[in-house]
Amino acid sequence: MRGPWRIALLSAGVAVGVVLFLVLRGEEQDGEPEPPPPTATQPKATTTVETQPRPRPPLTVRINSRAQGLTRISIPRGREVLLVVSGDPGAEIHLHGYDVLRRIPARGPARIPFRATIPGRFEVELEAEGRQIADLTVLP
Amino acid sequence: MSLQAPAVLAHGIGAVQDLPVPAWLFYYGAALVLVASFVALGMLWKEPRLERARERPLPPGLQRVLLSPRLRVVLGALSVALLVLVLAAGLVGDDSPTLNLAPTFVYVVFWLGVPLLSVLLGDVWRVLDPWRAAADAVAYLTARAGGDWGPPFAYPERLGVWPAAALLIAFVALELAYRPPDDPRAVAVAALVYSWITWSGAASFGRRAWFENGDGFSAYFGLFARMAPFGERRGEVVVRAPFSALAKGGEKAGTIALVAVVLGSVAFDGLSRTNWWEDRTHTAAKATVVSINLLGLLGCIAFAASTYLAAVALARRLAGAQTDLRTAFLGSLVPIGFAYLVAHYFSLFVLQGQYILPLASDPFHYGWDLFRTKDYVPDLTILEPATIWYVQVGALVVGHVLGLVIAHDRALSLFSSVRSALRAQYAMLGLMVLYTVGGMWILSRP
Repeated sequence: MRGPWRIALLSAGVAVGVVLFLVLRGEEQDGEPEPPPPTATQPKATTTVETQPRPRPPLTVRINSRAQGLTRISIPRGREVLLVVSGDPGAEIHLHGYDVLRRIPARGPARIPFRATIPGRFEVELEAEGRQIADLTVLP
Repeated sequence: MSLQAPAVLAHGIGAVQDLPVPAWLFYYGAALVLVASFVALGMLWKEPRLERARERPLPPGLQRVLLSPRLRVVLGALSVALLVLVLAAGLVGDDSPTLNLAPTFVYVVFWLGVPLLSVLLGDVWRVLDPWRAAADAVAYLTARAGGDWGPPFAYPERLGVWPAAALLIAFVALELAYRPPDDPRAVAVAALVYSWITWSGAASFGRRAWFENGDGFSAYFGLFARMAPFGERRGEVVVRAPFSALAKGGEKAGTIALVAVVLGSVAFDGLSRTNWWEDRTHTAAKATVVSINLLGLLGCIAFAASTYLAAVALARRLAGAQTDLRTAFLGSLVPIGFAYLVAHYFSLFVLQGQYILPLASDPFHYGWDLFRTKDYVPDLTILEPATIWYVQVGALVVGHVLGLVIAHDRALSLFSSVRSALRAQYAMLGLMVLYTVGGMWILSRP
């Protein structure tokens, strides 16, 4: 194949690639949740108060360590989370990645508060048995 | 505090698992692979180039430093000391995988770091290998004491690198099938067994024969070292076109198994991390999980080997070739294997690799602070998920293109006509699209 043809083919390939990238990427961005509209309609004087981020209540996630199968949880990044684990009293719970260890008390569940700052998939497991009880996903 | 090993954890060790590649990026990556393939077919050269690429020796001054016995002795002594440290930590240190040096050192620093070094600098494992260094030291001391230690057996040439492939399967079985893989005791015992096999092999067949054929890690890292722009020829360090050593053929018997282990093990690593696999193994007893994992791992390796053989058979038919092509295209799969490694282990290397700082200061978890890094807290947020995804898909696409280029060069040198070469290449192209898109698909599964 001669020079001009090669260049034409290469540029066609690059063009197709770029178009595909934009099309497919665009879809994804459209699918993202829109941020809440800013309080632009409010009078300026009150905006200082309004733009203070309202403390969102922590997301409460309940897991029973005796439940059959793996509990799968997805959390948006940045949220305060309260992991409430019930089941085997005395068992130690380990949340990987965030590296929190907490024992389930004799009465009532273990409460593990944390801020979901690290994106990824993490195990929640019963430490002594090495048994995974939940799969926690922190979405980006 | 004793942290037991996690139950359902892929790739040996690691606190964070990657999020699946989003669907849009998977489609984009797959489309890019197809476009790149056809562009490559249209643009590639008509004479083998990589195969004929020249090698130039490095300047004599640099050669002297790189090949000096003193450097070898220093590096060898350091690496033997590290092996002893890792064994000791694994055997008597804390039994938690995250507080003991051994698991992170073996699965992250060694198993991921050495392939990276090999791709960049060539076959560095030959001077870093603690088993070889120890064997060399014993041979040297024996010779000085006036002893003559000739190996009792000649290495059977038809064995090729099959023993190395078997040893590698044993290692990846520990890493990916055994539960818990990051148990420091298990890692140490495995290292002891490996040491015993290696030194027995070297004593039985001679150091040279064993380390160039039978030794698993030497064969594995040596495969990646062929991608490097540096190599060794007749006792000299040479600079060469990167990847050119993969286009020269001359594979030893068993290399297909070696390449299949690289591709199959990483594919299984991805598969075993999916919800689908977890749901099937989660409630089973440990022995059952290990057996199922082992079957899955061997199945993935067998899949990689059989698809390659099928593609080669097809290439032979399409090109009307009379010769056996089974080992002809193996070199082209090495960059794809390395791309798999990058895609699956890049984040582990960067995130889990940070733990080596506190662990180096306190390898046994006895409260030491040798390098004042005991309290270093790794930052698990330094990689955005989007960065990981782009690296994953990017690595696979680049690996695919490199594989295509090498296969093309091989085909041109094997066949007299460009037409036959192109025909043979269609089959290899199909295989590579399967590997690359399949690899991406596994990464995109939740």
